[in-house]
Amino acid sequence: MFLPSPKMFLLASAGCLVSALYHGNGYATAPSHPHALDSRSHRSESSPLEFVRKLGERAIETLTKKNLSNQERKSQFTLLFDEYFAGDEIGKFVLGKYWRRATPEQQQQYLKLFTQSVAATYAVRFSEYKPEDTFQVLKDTPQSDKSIKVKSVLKRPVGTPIGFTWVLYPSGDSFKIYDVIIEGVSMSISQRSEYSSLIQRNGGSIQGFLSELGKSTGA
Amino acid sequence: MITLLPSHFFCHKFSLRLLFSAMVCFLVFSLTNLPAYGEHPTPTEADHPTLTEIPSSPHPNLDKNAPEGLYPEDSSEDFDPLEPCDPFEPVNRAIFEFNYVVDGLLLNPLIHIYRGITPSFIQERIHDVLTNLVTPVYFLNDLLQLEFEEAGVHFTRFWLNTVFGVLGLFDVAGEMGLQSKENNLYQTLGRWGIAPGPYIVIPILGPSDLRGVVGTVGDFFLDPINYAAIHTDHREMMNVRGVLTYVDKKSHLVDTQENLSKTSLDYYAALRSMYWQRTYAKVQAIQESEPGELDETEVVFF
Repeated sequence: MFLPSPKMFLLASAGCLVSALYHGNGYATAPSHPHALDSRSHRSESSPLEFVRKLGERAIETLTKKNLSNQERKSQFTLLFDEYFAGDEIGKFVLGKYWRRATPEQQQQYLKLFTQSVAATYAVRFSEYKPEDTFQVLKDTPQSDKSIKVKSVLKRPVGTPIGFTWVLYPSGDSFKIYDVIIEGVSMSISQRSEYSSLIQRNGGSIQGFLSELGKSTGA
Repeated sequence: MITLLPSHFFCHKFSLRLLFSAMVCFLVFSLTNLPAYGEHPTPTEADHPTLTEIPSSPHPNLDKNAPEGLYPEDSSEDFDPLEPCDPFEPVNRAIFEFNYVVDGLLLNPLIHIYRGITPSFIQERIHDVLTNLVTPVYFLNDLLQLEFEEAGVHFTRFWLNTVFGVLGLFDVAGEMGLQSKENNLYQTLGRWGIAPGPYIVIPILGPSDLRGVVGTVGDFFLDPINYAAIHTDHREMMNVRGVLTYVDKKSHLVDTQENLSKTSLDYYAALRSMYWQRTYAKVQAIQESEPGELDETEVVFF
């Protein structure tokens, strides 16, 4: 009878390891962009490229300071989020099918908590980025639904660059951001998936979900 | 899976044939039973009279005058290729919990120690060698996808880096503008129209899906370096390479993972969605080259 030797186990697991890791959890690896189209980012003030470039600049300037407390980072983030993002629309999208099932009171409570939760989440996630990182806006592509996708890249001294795509819609004489897609991963869709899983695990109760969301904001 | 195979398996043509037939069966099964990308059953007008479009991202007027059906609520989530298919969620969650504990108590601390004590120069050399070693697999997958331009890039990269980059220690080709682009068998299968199948969490290794598992095993058997190691009786090198690949990948990911686990309300669901979207994007975007990535670079065949 055949019994696998320990060496076989090692061999096999190494094999699995090698190739599983090539495809598994690969979202920190990024394609690199050797030629940034910098010249294009200096167009008129109201261009989508300029809009995103400014946001990137301000975000790196205000959010990546070394000795910034999480509380300060959170309030800085909230300022930028309110100014640049369509918070309410994103919130509605992220709640998905449960938005309509919520009562008007729950909807109001949710939108308030959503902004706070986003600030709390991204304040921590932004602590990963460093002031040495450089942000380059690459290209804008208008879409058929009037939105504009702006591609950009964050280059770090160590590691592969990270690709960011911003989904903008015109708003007045400027723009609002509706989604950020990092290396092919839409933040809105991830959040929607997470929220819907959480609501399902709460037995479909929106109230239960809201109280969990409230806890996460650290307020 | 491979653990059950006899030790002379790799020289055994019959077993190899068995494996390939198993893979072909899987492909046929997937093609006939699972909806492929782009072929998701589209609801007819009669089923959902007002269903025009499922929003794939937030947009203005999501609420105002939105016709019934514009919300994911009214359309089954099955129609959305970006919603993970996870029929084994309870089992997956259990394995996920196990991985989380092992990561937190053992693997992540080890990775932090590795990053702490290894100079970044050495870390980069390890990364470059590993990338070079896997390039033949990318090359073969390029061919399977009939991506001859990419195949040329990978072919050139491999020999340039092996010869002038001292066995891949230095990414000479990368410096010349020939950037490596991951191309694995699961991407090939996706290109061929095979759906990812159910989401699967593998012990220790983490998120995957059925197509990913098949691709992983297939890539192992595609890899000429593995055959070289076996035929020269240096199987231990495969173990070393496996461990180093794990460490290298993980060292780039560990911060993001820890960050995500700290900031998500449901870490399992968050990671699952990210894995699913990332895989989808990688399969979809094989043909789209990133702006500036290749257009100003002359691809030279030597």
